[in-house]
Amino acid sequence: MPILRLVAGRILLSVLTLLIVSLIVFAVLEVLPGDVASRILGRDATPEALELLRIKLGLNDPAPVRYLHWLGGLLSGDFGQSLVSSRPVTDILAPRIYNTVLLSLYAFLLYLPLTVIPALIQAIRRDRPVDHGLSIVTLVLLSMPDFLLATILLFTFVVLVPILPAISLVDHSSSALDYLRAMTLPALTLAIVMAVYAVRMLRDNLIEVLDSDYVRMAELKGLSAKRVLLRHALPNALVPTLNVTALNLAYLVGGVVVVEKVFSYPGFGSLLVDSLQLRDLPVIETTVMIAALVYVGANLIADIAAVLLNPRLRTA
Amino acid sequence: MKLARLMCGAAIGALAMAGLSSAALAAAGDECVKVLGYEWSGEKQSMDPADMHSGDDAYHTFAVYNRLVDIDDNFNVRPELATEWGVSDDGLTWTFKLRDGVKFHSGKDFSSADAVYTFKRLLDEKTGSGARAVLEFLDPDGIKAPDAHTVTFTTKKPVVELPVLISNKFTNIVPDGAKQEDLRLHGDGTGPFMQEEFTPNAPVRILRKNPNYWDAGKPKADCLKITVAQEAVAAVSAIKSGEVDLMLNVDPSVIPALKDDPSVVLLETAASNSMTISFWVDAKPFDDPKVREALKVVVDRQAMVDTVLLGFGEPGADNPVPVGNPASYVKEAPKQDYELAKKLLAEAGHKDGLKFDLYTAEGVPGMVRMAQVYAEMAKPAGIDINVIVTPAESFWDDVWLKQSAVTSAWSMRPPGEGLAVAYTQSAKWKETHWERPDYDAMLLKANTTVDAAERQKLFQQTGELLAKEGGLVLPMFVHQVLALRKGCEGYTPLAQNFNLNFEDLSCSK
Amino acid sequence: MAIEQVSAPKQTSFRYRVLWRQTPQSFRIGLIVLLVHLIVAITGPFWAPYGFSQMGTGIPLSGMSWTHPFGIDQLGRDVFSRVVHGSHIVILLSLSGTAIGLLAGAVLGLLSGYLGGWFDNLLQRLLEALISIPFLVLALIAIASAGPELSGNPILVVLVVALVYAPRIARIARAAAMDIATRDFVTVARLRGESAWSVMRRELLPNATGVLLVEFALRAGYAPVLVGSLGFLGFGLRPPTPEWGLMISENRALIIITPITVLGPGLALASLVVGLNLFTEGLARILGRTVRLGNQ
Repeated sequence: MPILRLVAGRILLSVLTLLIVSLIVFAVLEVLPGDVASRILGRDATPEALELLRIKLGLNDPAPVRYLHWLGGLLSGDFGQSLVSSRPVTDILAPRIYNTVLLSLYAFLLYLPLTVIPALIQAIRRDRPVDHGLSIVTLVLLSMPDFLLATILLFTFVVLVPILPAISLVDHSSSALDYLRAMTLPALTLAIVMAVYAVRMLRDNLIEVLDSDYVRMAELKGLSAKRVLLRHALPNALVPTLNVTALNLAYLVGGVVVVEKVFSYPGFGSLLVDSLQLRDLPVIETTVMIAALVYVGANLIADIAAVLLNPRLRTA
Repeated sequence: MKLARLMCGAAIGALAMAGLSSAALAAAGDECVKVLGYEWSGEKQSMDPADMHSGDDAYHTFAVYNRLVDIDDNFNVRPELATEWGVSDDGLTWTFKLRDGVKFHSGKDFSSADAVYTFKRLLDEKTGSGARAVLEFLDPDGIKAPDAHTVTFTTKKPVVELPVLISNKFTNIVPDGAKQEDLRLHGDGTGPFMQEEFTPNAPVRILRKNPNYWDAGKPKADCLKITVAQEAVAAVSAIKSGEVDLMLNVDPSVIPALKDDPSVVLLETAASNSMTISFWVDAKPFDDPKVREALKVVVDRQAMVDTVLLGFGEPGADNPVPVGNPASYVKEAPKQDYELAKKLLAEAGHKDGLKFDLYTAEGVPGMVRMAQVYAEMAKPAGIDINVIVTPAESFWDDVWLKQSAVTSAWSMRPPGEGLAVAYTQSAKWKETHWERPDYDAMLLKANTTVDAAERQKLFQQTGELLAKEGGLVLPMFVHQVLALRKGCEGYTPLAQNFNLNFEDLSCSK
Repeated sequence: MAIEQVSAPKQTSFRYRVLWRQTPQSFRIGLIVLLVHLIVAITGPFWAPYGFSQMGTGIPLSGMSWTHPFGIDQLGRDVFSRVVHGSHIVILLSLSGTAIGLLAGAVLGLLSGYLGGWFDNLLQRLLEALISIPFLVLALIAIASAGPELSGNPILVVLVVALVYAPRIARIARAAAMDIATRDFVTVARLRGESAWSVMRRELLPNATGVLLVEFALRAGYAPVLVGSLGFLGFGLRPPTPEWGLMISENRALIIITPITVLGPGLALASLVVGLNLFTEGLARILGRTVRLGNQ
């Protein structure tokens, strides 16, 4: 079946891309100067201890050998051990990925109303003061760096109007509500950043759809404005926004790095920054690979969805 | 579209719930005292006392373990796992009598074998502990256990302050035979709290009260919840709102936010860490003692304390002994004198001024600020300092001992150790390349003089020599500031900031 | 006779004014904002009240005042002066990083799109792979791998920005090249025996200018945020450089006591990005294209 061939082809391409990513990652990081051994043992290390560690960790093998070894490990699910604590990378990553996935889901949940509601308001009241005002707000927020937004939100909701916790003091004895409260600020920051990006597009799409003949027909048929909007305009306008959502997911993987740091959220992004500073190579490599995997995966799904939804693309 | 509306509703509901529970800020079922730290070593965290890579580990190690003896701010020795100690007539053998009836959390009885094992493994290079450098005066073969409740330390030369010197951040006692891989994740000590939840890199550590602790009635708290926040704003908000009970370090820049808060009490330590600007005395232009003196006399020490530490510190006198200590050679820190500085520079042949690079990093909080303030203070004397800021995480490995002008920091040590750790010829970290046999001899004499008054005088002389001719500018000692919520009591911060004692800490809810 | 001679209005200035009025409002506002930033960047060091590392300008941690519009930081430095001194840094880093990225990306992309074949396939895979790594992550590992000696070096930051942008620009250039390559004059040039390099320079590049210009403006608009993020995380320039992202990071603890020390540089950074974004949108509209602003 041609569709299956197309899908299989896309998957194959994605795998190839990931392979090249792994090469790039390994090359960039194995060139990392600064002796890993001395970074682990600290300033009190003796040369003998350093050499022992180097041998133990196989840092003296040639690079291609190490690459293949690593790649083999990745493919078989063995991500190695942390150079710092000797714990399996899986153990280190698992809770962090879990936390970031939760955070992302929460962010997406907040992102939907933050996008849809302003866009709807802008479309309905287009070219009126509300529309202009919201456009300005969107533009400013779009131009604001996420770390600045995060800092301002932290200040507002933790210091000025203290309704949210400052740090995530959650462990397994905390309730779901505690988790939710700890995640709200970082999720809100991410949601706002993603939303402002999508609001403008959704507004433009909504206006375009509202002006289309299809909608005019519906209005002429006597359907109420609200029904026209929600039942007809919105779904049509949302489809191109799906593409934006995939891109937002890509942003998310990088955006969590800054946001998690500001809010001290124990997720994937803060793990990356920490392990970069510790030069904990296996953790860094696996983390970056996972980030790329998520990006490639999201794009793959978006591509396939687009092909499936739009027959015209099937010949591409 | 119903789905979309449902999701919108769910999102709004979630936000509302999160905001509404503001009244009940304390998490449910939380009898633990919540402690907030400030140093974070991530994956490096370890329950093995030999590992102590950063201040982060002290938060749990010092609650889970005990040492043989404890030190207070004046370096007086107090009993902990050892009850009595004394030295032989020749000064070479110290004998410690150990406490009876102490058990490790695993149930094993504490005996002298554990003490011997602990010190031997610290000295063993296979353990790779930083303790090796500071415990050099110990002879591994001289550590013996004549019986189950006695341990002896025999050294090649008399070490007058041995009880003080064997009480550092590494020497918490571990069970005999315990392996590094096990200890790292599963701490087993004799201390007031037991490990309940500990994973490296996890945001929260939970320690539970030790019901069989040898000091009856302690610890007061049922459990400790330790977490770390490196964001000053988050940390301050956490203590203000009661999310945490004890904040172990308040960054000077946010102290004003807590000063007037009625729900928080600020605690201040005595002279704690020192910060220095260190020069190689064998490198130009610092090889001329007049230049070095000029570099010291440009500093307005009190102003530096006020700017960098916001007043939470005290001026230093260019040697590791705090000015208030009986071993200090002066009662007051030197004053700034630009005329003298210019004169000295002119005499040294630099009448047009001096120019050099100073390497720094935020290795400890405030270090970069200190470098910048120093550069500003040196300007009017014609000294042009180019401050080069390097990354904090690689500073100690790649820059510190490798440049002729660096900033540095040292934790509080007893005079005998502080004057030696970087300045004797055999020092492990010869920060200033200072090599003076007369200095070493003076210090050795001080460290082997039994008479306390005489010893202080010798320390003073040694300190004076270092201050006048050495290659370090030590302008200030930090006073650590901590915050404790009203309603909590029983915490006394110590100058050696790794020495955390949570035994008396308790909070009434 | 005293006849007043009314000289005819100058042809050129009239034309410019008409042109100006025809440009979209966003373009005009953006351009003005950018000009303000540029003027401050160039002239700032001359009229800033204090030096960028000058201490003792007043009581530390005091708030807004007439003499210190952005307050005073913990070291007693005037934040407004620092912002002014630092404005050229952000602009230079962003523009040069994006320019180098544009150059590399455009050349590679145009060549690839035109040549096709194995070169194109290989390059496409490589570009795809580079783009698959989230740009902040790529920037961080590139900086980490450069080592501690290079850390804080502005050239490193510029190169990293270029590294992040080049693949994305290359993609756009490639698509443009493939489109242009189908046109007759390109076929003629090829039949004439022109080398690929020459074709690129003489036929492809001029025709892709519109696309590339918009791409440049688009990427340059986000570059200050990227540079600021690196500074914020501690992977960018080092203190006491008055880079805005670094300043926001350094002062963020002070937000409780003097928020203006954070909001000042924040406002500066945001306004620059707003100006760039508006300018880009306007420019795109003039050239007849649509853009998606933000963090691609």
